Amino acid sequence: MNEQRLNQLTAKMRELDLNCLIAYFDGMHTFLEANYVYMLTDFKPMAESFAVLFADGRTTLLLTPAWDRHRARRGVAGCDVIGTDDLFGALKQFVDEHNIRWEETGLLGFSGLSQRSWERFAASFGMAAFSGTGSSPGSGAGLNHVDAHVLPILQTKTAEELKRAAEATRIAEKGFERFMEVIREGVTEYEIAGELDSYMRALGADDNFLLMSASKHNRSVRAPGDRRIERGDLILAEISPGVEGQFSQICRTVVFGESDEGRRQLLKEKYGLLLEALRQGIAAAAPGAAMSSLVTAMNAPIEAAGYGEFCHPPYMRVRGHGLGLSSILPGDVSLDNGTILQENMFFVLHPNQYIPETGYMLCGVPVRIASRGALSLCEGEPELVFID
Amino acid sequence: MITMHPVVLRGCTTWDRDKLPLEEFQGRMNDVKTMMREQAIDCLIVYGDVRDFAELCYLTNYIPKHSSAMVVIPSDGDPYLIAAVAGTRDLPAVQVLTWIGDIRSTKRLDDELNKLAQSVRDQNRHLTVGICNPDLMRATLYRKIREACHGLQMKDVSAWFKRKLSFKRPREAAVMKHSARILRQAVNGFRETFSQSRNVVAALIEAERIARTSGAQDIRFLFSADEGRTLQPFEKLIEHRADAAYAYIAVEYLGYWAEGFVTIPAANLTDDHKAQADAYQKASVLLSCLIGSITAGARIADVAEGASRLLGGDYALHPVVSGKFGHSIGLSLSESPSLDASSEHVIEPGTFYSLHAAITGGASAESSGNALLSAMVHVTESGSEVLWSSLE
Repeated sequence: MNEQRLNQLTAKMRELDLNCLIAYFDGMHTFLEANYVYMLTDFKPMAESFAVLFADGRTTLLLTPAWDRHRARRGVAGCDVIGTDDLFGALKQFVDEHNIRWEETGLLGFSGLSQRSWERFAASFGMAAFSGTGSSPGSGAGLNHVDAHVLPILQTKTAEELKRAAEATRIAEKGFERFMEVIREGVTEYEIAGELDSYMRALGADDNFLLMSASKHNRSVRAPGDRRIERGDLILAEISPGVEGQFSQICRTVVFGESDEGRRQLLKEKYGLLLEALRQGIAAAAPGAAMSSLVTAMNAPIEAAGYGEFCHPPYMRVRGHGLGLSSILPGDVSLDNGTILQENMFFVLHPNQYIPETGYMLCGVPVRIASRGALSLCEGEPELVFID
Repeated sequence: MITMHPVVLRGCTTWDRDKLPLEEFQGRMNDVKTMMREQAIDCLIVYGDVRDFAELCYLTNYIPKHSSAMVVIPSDGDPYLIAAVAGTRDLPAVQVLTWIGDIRSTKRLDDELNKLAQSVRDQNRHLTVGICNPDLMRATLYRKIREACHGLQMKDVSAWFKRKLSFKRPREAAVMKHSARILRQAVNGFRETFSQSRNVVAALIEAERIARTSGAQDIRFLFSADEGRTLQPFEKLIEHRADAAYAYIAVEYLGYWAEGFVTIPAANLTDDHKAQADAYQKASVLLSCLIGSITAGARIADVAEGASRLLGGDYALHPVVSGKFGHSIGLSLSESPSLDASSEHVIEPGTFYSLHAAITGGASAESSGNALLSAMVHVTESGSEVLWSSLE
């Protein structure tokens, strides 16, 4: 684990009077939730796993399947690895061998336990299968879920995470160049996405939250389908490669084969609103500002142009969001997020917007909050690209 | 086979109305409603998520791209889908992927569960809610459902679905064959790229490109950087060139999986490669034996025991196959039954199997070799059809 993170976590453990943290991961990597096992180990398991951190900094990874232990031992520095095909039995043995007591232990990620896994956990430790109340299984029944205490530590990125984010951004931008090369009339959305995804893999992306779709009038961006590109299409791409578990994201719009000059001008004009919204968001994103204030700033030029209704659901969800894998804090760029921005927070700002005359368009860049304000990790601003 | 799960399914996402028309899903739904009548179930909840979507996809064609969903099937009335969509503007994108007309958001899950339970109470018939895959859903979700259905009987019908899905209907069989064709194209691309570059990662990236541009919704791969001793997923670019390649590739098309192990032995055999060559030869014989053994009526335990005898004392199953000679496959990458000696199952027509001849060992510890081979077969009334084989 990164030393900065380790120091933060052990300090939090002292504050909470904990001797041990046990993190759970269900094997399904997600863009939407924190992966505490990855946070504690900097390792991406392929299946269910636990990671244990003691107050003295010792870390152990218990992972399935047993045969994946070789990869973990190669890839995880300063951490013991136990490979097992009986995860809950192995955890029980570990807990017993190290005299771990629940009252001194904080649990992370246990809301991710399936019913079957919760029953196995409960059976291994002699707990009732349906105990407790609240949002995590077993809460109120002697188990101490500390997600809400620990998660804020992940609001800012470490130097290593920011380095990976910069590389992921570079890959995303190279990917967009490739995206533009493969677009042609008659090619399917999935063929474009396939070329794009593989290209970014070849540059080092270990995963990709890629959404890509096209229409004459988009309502949102979605997973690629079998629709064939036609002249006049607006092709949307939310390109989000990850590098060693850290994602970045760029949001781009391409207009293909639009020959009507009036329409081209209209699209440029309306895309200009998104660009202005992005500039306003970047200008507002400084340490000490509330995340919600960025939304107000970004909405302003769009509202001023008469599209205020479309700045809210169902037309628009959020103006950006955090990027994991370990954590997606500082969370959504939304009006209900009062998080105060700090240096080294990292998130995507995307004033993606539905405009009645044009449909939905994408415009977004990843930003890091620096001492003097937000810095885009991209080379230059997004542009509305016309491919004839 | 365990692989690295992606954060989103980003391949071809569609409802292919030619391959799986509306009447196909209506037929499946009719079978479910018949089961509900027979088991006195008033309302059925079928859960699925981005990893385990078999039953959900079977009934609705819908596969969550990064979260979960449930289809609710009243005994009287039309089914509806509760999907974890970001907002109502995303509902049209879900609509085109399923024949289910009524799509609701999980943002209102508590209300939906309460309405569902109340409707069962109001009917005052069997007061029973059926549920498929309660063990897979999060414990917190299961508790919500139990609490909403307080006072109602809950009946787990997962086993009925597992049995139902093990037999592929004719259209499903056609889609499975298409998945196998995409697998073949991907593997051929892998072989060609490896033969030119001797770089297994570059070869797998090409295989992935081919699969995605051929219509796969999902593709998984593993490779070996240690002569087949272990397998690993892609984590970052590594420069690994070798004489031989060991890999695993799986593709999912319209929800249906095809998988294969690929071993490319060293082209020029030297003494260093003799153990490799011996293992490859042994695995080839084992795979041929497995293919020949998979016929309708054969006991799986007998198949596994025969395969074990053929392995002899010098070789063992490779750790990555977890002690089994394969498993059924379909809308899940690994379905029951598995091919191992403890199985009580019999091979039945209409089923699909992935056969694994993945071995490690050799005449001595110093000359240990590895070989990972497999085949996909369709069991018919008259025999079995090989859809793809490592030995092609």
